[in-house]
Amino acid sequence: MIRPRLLPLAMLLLAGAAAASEPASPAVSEAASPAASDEGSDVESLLAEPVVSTASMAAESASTAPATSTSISADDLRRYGIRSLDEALNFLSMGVVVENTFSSSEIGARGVLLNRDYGNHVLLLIDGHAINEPWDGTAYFERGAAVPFELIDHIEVVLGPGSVLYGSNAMLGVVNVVTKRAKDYLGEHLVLESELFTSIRGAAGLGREFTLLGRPATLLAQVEYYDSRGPAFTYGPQNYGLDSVTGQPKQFGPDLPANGIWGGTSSRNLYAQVPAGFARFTLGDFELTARAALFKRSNPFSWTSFDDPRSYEQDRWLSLDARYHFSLTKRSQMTLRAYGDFYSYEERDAITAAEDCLEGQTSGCIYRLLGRSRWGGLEVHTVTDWLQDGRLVTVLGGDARLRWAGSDGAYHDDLSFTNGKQNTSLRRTERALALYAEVTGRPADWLGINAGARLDADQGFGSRISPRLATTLTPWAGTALKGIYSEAFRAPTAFELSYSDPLGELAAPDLKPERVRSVEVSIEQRFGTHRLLLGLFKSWWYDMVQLVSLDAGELAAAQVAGQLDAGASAATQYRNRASIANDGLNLAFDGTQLAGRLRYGLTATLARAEQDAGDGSGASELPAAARVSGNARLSYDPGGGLPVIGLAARWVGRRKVADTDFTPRPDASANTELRVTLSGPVPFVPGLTYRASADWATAAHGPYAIGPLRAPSPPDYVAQELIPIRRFVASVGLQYDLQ
Amino acid sequence: MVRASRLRAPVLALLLPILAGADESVPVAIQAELLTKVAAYDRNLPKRAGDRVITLILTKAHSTESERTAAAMQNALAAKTTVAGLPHLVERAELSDPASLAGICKAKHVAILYLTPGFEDAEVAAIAAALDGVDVLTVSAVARYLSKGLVLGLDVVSGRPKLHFSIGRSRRQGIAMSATVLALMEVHE
Repeated sequence: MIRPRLLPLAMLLLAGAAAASEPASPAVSEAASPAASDEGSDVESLLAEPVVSTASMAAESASTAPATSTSISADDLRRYGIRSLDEALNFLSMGVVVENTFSSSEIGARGVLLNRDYGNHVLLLIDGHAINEPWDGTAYFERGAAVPFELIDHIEVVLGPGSVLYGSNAMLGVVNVVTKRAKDYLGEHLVLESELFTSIRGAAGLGREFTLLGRPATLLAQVEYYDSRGPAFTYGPQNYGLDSVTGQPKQFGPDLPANGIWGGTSSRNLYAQVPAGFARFTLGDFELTARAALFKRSNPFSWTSFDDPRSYEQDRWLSLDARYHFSLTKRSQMTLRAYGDFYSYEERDAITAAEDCLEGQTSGCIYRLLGRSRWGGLEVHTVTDWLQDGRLVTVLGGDARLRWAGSDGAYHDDLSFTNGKQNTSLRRTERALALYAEVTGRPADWLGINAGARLDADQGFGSRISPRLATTLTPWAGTALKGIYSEAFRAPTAFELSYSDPLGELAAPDLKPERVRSVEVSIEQRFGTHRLLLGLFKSWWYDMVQLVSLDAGELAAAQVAGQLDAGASAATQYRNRASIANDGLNLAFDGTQLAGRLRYGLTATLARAEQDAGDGSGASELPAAARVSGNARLSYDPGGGLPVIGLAARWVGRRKVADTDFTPRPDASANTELRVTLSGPVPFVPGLTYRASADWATAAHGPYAIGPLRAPSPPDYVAQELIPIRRFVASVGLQYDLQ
Repeated sequence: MVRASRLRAPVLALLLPILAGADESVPVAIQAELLTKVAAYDRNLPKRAGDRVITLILTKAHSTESERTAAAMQNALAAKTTVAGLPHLVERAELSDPASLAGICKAKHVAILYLTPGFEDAEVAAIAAALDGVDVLTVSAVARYLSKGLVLGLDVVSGRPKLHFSIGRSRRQGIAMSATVLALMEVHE
């Protein structure tokens, strides 16, 4: 843990580095003759500076934006063999860690990772369109993000609370996937890519520029299909013992012996399928975007079954977004936006054992949970540059939304879904209104101030104000000192508010939003095409939602009230109970040489996050949340059609194992992943390019418990079995561009 | 969703008549930085400019987008008091006709001509045709204008500023860009 008192020392070091390496001040540079200037380095430095728009909803230089952010370019995605959003975040962003669970990945940032949250503590945007849905706040940060990868122009990752402009879910940060404009993807494109022996992805896309109704128009579209199967892993054996209902050894699948054993070689139950399509049509300043996707994947580490491909989860999306941008006055730009989304989720668990089914289902059952949500709204957004010189800019916006969410859960006797026994059903329709305002002032060349707040008034939870105050000092050329205070929240989801099961769970209609407050300071020094950043942060998380077991009195009261069946012996309820204290530092260095042919970068995050569960047990380390994480990269483009070589590495330190009842909670070992990628044009075939990668991981297991045994019982089960990691992966891909 | 569908048609019908066609572009402050730095690497700039560098910002009549960008760009460029060691003057002009624009550029020794958003593609092509052979660095941050005959384009690709440069057009307009800076640009014929 690095404490804030180290900041002055760090600033001193950076100032020294700056003094040693900073080229002449702009005034001196401009006065010099071109011949005497440092040939092109000033231009190259400007070209290296990311332009971001997520932090304040207006395009600006990353170094002066009111947030700590990373911008991952499409070129870097290609150079480093990145194939999915989780890889982009792990290998190329700062402060974000995504843990692969082979089902849906878990995302954390700066030492905080909340397991099984389905990504609902990070706001995922695609071109500014929020993906997190209202039924459970779900967003995926791996293949399930379902964005055709070649369409990505860049990915902006904003760390820290971001509700000031975006509302719910932006607690850990905001990930904005920005797609290309048609002009940067002209022609037709075919893609075929494979992780050897386990997956294949095919895609077809196009970009067009044309004239329609006398106006410039564009079309950008791509469809793709990803399918992965395997590899096979060997698990267990875990000797579970007897089924509590039948008294016989428990059976974990219809094809498995009823011997109480979970484990063996799993060859059928590790798969994923992701068909996705994306299209955007623009006419002048009007733009219409549509996205449709499906994400189906196995549930390989179910408590109740082993290697049964009938158990899976599936999400489907359809999103529409229409926008019109125009200049309202000589000082103001306005965006009008209408949007609508459909989402559905299905979890299906094939269960053979009687003890995991309802009473009377002695030969097994299928548990099926359906979640659905629809939402649509209108947003108005204005950016006004009052002095027309960027010294006083205001952002004003409003978003009115109507949303509906519902779900049904039932235990069916078999796959034909006959004799379904409904155990839960919910329907919620709600309205929400948000108003936000932000002022960016630059009273002096060396001082920038950004202040803003957003009011969310929501039928689901009441109202919430999310402020942010940021200052940027630029005391000398190339230096940016930032101080940021921000707050964010996560609205309780429809599932958390309303899910109930008379056999064991109460609804939680009084649930409040989770809240986080954060302060951070950072110093960024640019010298030529190089950038060094050091940031310190501290955050406080309140009213975190947890599934809490009812005590005997609460259980009896719920039974008297008719909320639980009389036979229920235990029950749970979502409650605002936990809190988290989090602090640490981020460090980043990156640069280019040789006119961008040689690129390199490094990030490191040291963080501490301790959770107080509110049950009197005191503070404890968050499971699966790494205290140490980082990445490094180096690439070289020799030009002349020779292969571009990219080397990338990412690492996470030891993490406490999640989902286990072993005491003390065991550790998962640190892991380093290394990747080498070669890419370039295929000789003698114009338009055809290739990319080949090889990955190697040092650790064999990740920080998640698997199988039905989560405690040292029976006594010979002495070590928690952990999720395996694919240690070696090779992939190849081809892309054919017809233009 | 039904609500959004119902609204889309009338909203589109209402807005179509005023569609202006501007592209997403580099923030104006960065445009000004890039433009003045890149111009300094034009070896013909001193000869073309004489004793001072004049940047002319060209606007389109009745285009709010053009006026808004011009005002912001004028303010940003005004802070650049020198270019390549020469005094820097920033002026604005509204397009009347391309031929007279070419005359103004010649008469005033305009070194840099900045086109604001708001012009139709045909107008940009006409401006480019009129300036063919005139010693001036034509530049815009509207990416599609480059293909209509400008010399320098300022763009954002992959979240970073990007420079496009038309080498053929530059030769006809007396621009001799340093090879080092050309290596940082996407060069078009």
